Amino acid sequence: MPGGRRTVVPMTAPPPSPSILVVEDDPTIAGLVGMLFRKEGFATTVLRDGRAALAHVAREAPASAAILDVMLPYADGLAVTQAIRADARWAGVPVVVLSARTAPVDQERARQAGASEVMAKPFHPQQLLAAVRRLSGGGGA
Amino acid sequence: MSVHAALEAAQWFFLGYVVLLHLAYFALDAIALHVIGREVEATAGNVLPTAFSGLEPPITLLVPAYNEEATIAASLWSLLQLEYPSFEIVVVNDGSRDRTLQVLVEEFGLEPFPEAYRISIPTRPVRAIYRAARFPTLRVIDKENGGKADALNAATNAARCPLVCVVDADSVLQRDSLQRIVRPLLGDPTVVAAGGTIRLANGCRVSEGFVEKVDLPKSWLARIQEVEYLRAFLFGRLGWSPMNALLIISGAFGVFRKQALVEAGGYRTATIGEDMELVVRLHRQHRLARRPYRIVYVPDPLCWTEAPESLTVLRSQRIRWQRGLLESLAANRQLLFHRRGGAPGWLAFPVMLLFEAIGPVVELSGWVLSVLAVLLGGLAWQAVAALLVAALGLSLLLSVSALLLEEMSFHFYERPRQSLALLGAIALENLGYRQLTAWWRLLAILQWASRRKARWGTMQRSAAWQGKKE
Amino acid sequence: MGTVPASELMVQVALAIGLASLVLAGGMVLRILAMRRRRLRRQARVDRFLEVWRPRVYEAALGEPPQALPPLAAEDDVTFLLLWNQVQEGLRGPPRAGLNKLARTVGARIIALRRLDDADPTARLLSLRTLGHFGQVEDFERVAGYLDDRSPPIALAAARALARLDPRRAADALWPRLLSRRDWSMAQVATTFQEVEAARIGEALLQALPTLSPPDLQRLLPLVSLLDDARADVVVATLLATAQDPDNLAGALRHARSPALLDDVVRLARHPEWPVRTQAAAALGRLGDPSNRRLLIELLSDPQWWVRYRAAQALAAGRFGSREALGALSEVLPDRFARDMLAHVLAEGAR
Repeated sequence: MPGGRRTVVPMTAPPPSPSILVVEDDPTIAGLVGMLFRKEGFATTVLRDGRAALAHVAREAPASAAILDVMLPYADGLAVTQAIRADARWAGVPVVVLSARTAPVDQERARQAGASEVMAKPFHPQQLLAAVRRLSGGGGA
Repeated sequence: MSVHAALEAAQWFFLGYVVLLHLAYFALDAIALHVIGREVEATAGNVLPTAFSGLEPPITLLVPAYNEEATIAASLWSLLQLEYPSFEIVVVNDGSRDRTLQVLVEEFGLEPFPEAYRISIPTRPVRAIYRAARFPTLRVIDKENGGKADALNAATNAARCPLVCVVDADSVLQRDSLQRIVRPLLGDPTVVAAGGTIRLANGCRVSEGFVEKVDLPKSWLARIQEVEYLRAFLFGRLGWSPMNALLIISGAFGVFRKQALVEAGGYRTATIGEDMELVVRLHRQHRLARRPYRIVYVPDPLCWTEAPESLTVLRSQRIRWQRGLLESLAANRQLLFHRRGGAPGWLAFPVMLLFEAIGPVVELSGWVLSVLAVLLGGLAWQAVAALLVAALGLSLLLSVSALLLEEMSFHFYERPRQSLALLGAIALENLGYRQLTAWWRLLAILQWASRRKARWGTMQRSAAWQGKKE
Repeated sequence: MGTVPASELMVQVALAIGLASLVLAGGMVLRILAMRRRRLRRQARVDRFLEVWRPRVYEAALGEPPQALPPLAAEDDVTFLLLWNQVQEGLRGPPRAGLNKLARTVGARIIALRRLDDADPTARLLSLRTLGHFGQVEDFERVAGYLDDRSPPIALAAARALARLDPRRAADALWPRLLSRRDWSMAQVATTFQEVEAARIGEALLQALPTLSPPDLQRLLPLVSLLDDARADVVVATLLATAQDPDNLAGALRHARSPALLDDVVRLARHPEWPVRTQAAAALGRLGDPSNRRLLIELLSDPQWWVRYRAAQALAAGRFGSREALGALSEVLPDRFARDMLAHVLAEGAR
């Protein structure tokens, strides 16, 4: 539960501006997704490995949505998804999982971990944007 | 013949031996320099993200463990993260007397599993087989103590994939090590085994089973070993591999076709250097039967390991290695100068025998004789000094060429102080370290000769280098 | 006793060797330092380049109106190609148009054509990839020349580029190399062929079937997994009826999917070679019907571990009875190996 160390954002109030957490270890894709969402008015946090993501989820206020690559160093995207679902503050955050493998069994695994949507890599930037907008209830500038 | 003439002849002999030894290694060096361009070329595709087609052959990782309670969990967590489409892990608890098995059960939620265990290679009895509840690809075999070779054989029995990758419980791999080491076996069915590069983790920052930052070890003892490893791999292996005469694939990281391993009879339990013995045996069996095969070294895939930081542990390691070398050669002596022996029988084996196996005897007796001769007035100190200069110079040249190969391939060192430290290590190596290890290896030869049964020296586990687990 | 003149020679020889070695070693150290300095400088240049150009390429990919671009220096050619290809391969859809426009502005095709013969293999590889994305049909011949390059990654990059430039001609050009290039693994080839019309491959494979030698056939069989079901069935049916080599029969069985092949599968379940029986058992799990249950139970007692294993997995797949029924079966089977294997497989599927 939130402690006294950081400013507590009440769960009922909407976040000041739409924010997004992107976790991707490939620097090119990470930079691209970061720029995509920044241009659309999201406060964007880009992290490069699963461990940093887990730490972020434990410490920071929830974002409007999260985009996670599956193959991440230290803790994969599905583990981060599970952590998000298990955290009291982040539990309702929509999660889009990016995966190079799209066989039904992989999609099933992602959904069981708690992913809201699974998107294939290589991905369509506008589709990703639309999915995030749709899942987070129409945020954005 | 007068004593004097005998001494002089001996001096010429030692000079000749030193020159010959270095000529052989320079030849390997030249081959390595020639080949390294091709190896770097083969990795040109690494700049773009890997796409797996799904047709990659599945691999079983074989992880023998004895008294590894401090590090086994971290190791397995990192192995589970390897980037490869399809692989399974078989850990063998070789009758550990510490809490290795309990740690595994707790960390991974192991449950007993009614495995239909098939005995292709006989081993000491298996007590139970477990499977991890959350990771169906992880299985653990609990068996009575039988040694590393025995453990590997048990793991092979349980392996379901056509390829097996042997790793030590404390090997630290990179995420792409598995996909890189398997490359030679993908398209070429004659390749039966492949080895990768082992480098020292001693100075590196290791976090949760992966190397985050590469740096030189802090202690001079480890730095000297760093140079040794660079020599051993970057031209030791890279030199022999193109001739299909590679006699060693380290047990810390190597890949084999399971069928070839089983047909060869598995690992030999009566020997202490089981990794080398297997490879020499594969050469012998295939060459003598005229079966086409290849055993290769790929510099590209990396495995990091901890080198001994204390003289006691180093001593037991070097004695073990020398005994392993002698046992491997002795068990496969049929290969030496055999009609169908090819490069392994006519080049690699004799070189190993002459320079690695007998080397310590020649080296030490050379020094002892020289010093005695000077003291007794039979020889001028100038002669000994000149010999020293020659030996030092050649050794320095060989080691520096290993540094050059490193710069051409991995180029992990960026700062001048690191190169300076390595040069210092090279100097120190020749002023005492070599002599010390030669003495230990001589002891090993005597031990082997008297056929004393070996006990695998206990290597102190220092958990500190693994980094703190969060 | 003092020094005897004869050993003067030895001293001189030894000293000469020692000093020559020291000099050579010194030269090597200088070479190492020079190489390192060159490399670090090159890396710094790449970092500066990426800082400026990365946002530009992203903008092009995201469809932003193009801003004025800084001039592209020749030394940065390859870095640009790398960045451009990385972004190209990470995205699908409209970004391609934007990226191609950027490539046109910068003259990427000219760069790629120029760098095709570069000494650096990475440059050659990237040039081939770029031509695949952005080349023109007239580049086909030039790229096809690299299909026979000594280096497998480069040859495969050429194959991929050809597949994008002209899928039909690419299939025709690739087919003979599939057989002749022993250094291509089917895994690597499969990534390439996902681009090319699978139809052409299927047809080529079918036509060549009668003429392929058993080892060649064995090499190419994994490609059947790329074909659509209809074509795969035709290939598999032909093989099951005509092939003699047990490895090829086993390989064909591995891809058997259609129930129409059931008769052949049942026949091969009694083949003398165990790899064939193994794959037949696995195939029964995919396309068998309840009447094959008895056969699978027989195979549970096969002398070979793998046949028993696949037979047990087939039984546990669901068509042949519930898990409880199988559990009950494992109690009553007379053969200990069959019981063990069934228990093993049931435990495997227990989550």
